Amino acid sequence: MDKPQVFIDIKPSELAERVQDYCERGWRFVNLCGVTVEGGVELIYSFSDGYPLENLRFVTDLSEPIDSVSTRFPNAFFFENETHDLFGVQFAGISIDFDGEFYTVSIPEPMRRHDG
Amino acid sequence: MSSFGLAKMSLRNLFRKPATKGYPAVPAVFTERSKGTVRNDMDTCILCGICQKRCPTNAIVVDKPGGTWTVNDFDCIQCLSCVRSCPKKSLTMDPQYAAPAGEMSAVTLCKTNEDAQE
Amino acid sequence: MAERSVIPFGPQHPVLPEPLHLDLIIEDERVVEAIPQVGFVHRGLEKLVEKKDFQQFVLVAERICGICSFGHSLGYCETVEALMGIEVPRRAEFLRVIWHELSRIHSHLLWLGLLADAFGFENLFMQCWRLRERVLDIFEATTGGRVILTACKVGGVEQDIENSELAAIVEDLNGMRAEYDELLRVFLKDRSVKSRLVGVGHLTKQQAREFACVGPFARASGIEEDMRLFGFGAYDALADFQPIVSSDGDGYARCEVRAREVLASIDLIAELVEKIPDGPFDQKVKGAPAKGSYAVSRLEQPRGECFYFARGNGTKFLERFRIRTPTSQNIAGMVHTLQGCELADVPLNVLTIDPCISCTER
Repeated sequence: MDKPQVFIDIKPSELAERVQDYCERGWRFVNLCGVTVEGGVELIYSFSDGYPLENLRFVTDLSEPIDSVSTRFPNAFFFENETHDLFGVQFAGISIDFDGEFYTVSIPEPMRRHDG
Repeated sequence: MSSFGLAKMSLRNLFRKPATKGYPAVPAVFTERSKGTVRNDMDTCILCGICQKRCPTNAIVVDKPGGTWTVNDFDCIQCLSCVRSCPKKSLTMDPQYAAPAGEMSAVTLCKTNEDAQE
Repeated sequence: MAERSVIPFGPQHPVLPEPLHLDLIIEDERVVEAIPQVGFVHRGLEKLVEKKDFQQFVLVAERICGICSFGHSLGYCETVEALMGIEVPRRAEFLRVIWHELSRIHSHLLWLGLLADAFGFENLFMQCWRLRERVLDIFEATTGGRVILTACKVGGVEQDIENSELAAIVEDLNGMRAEYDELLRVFLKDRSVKSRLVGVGHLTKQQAREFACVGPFARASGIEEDMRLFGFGAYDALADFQPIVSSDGDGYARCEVRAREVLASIDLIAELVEKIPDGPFDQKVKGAPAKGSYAVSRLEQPRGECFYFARGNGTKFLERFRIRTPTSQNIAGMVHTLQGCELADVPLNVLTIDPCISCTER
């Protein structure tokens, strides 16, 4: 069986609405992944309901904080704190906010640099 | 609900040989595929340098002009990348682990069949 | 109103093989709230994809964790294969699943041993680990490694297992089954095990859904979800695969689910060995992941669903590789089960999710 590869491009402003929709349909939050791209960080949110898996992606330029999804999906706090520490993306209203103390990193935002 | 469920097994164990070996008095048993140290047969080696390129930890250094082949067993992670990529099949994996040593050292082999410790 | 105090739990604790810290806010003997903290062993392995090419990174991927080592190399290879559109030979898919199921057996035996140790049943702990040793011996005979197997590579597997060797593995596992049955009886029937586990850390099905729990932790709460059901790799060749589910949702149910999964895995290997086709076991891989290509893949590790994401950039180095491990999903559920439990039950409660912190922090 082929693995599902569904990527949906959205605008940052659509996120809250989409997340609400997944929450109402009873899907679960699978992953939040950041990718360094030109002009900021691409965020990929994955949701799943058993076999189906959908990935929302959008690029943020880091100028504004992203609304946390951890109020709807409690397990998201882990990934949002991680993305904040490794990519410098700001999240507003994380349920357990470590405020940059989640990982101890020797250089700030290590995953955003390409020089190593 | 029951108790003493392991009593039978424990009694059996009393009269059985131990499950462990008395290493180092009893030598360790290696299988055919066990990984230990990389060995090179310098007679067939052509110093092509593919093993050096494939090695993920840069444990192998090939000096073609000098005619030497060096492996640092303490950097080697026994991934077999070099053994599998060797075109002349001169590299082999010996099941015996590298012996413990006070200092990390590399083994250098020369094309003239003289082994030298560096 | 009782006075509140904060007790730090971990990162060093006899029950934890790996560093996880919890701030337990307690009232008398009862936990009111638990705040988890990880980050003690973060190594930044995801960043290493920029330094190691996509074929070498398999070696890094399997060193993420000692217990799930084969699972991680398998997940990495499947993701890169999806990224590059590589078809893996059928025999390689079977061999991968056989190794993966063997690692599930050894992981569960390890966990059952740790659980027995956590409630003070030393004898049971030793017996579990002695059985586990036999699985590690099978690993050594087939791949040369006991923990780090270096068996999986992009495009197939590194070495074949002869059909006669496969039959010997099945025989060996069937020999193990007799001894394991005795242990299973103790885990499921013994008074001291039951009195320590029944009712500990209760999680209902709805809560397990809400906290997005995965793996045996979720299955013990009645969620019938197992990535093996969806037939990746050779799992689609299985005649009738049913996930093992319990509806009790407490520590005893989690123990039962894992204990029964060991037997299920032994059956599964026997079935796969019967059906394994002959043919090549690897395939030459040419080129590199295309620029801007995305791939995700999921697989069922011993601890639950593991999620992999990869992105190529046209060179032999990946742009990004991401692993989301089962433990990072389960931490939220675990923290919830801690609320309201007795302080003495906290170690057992933490252990029943089978936390694997090195996987989680990579």
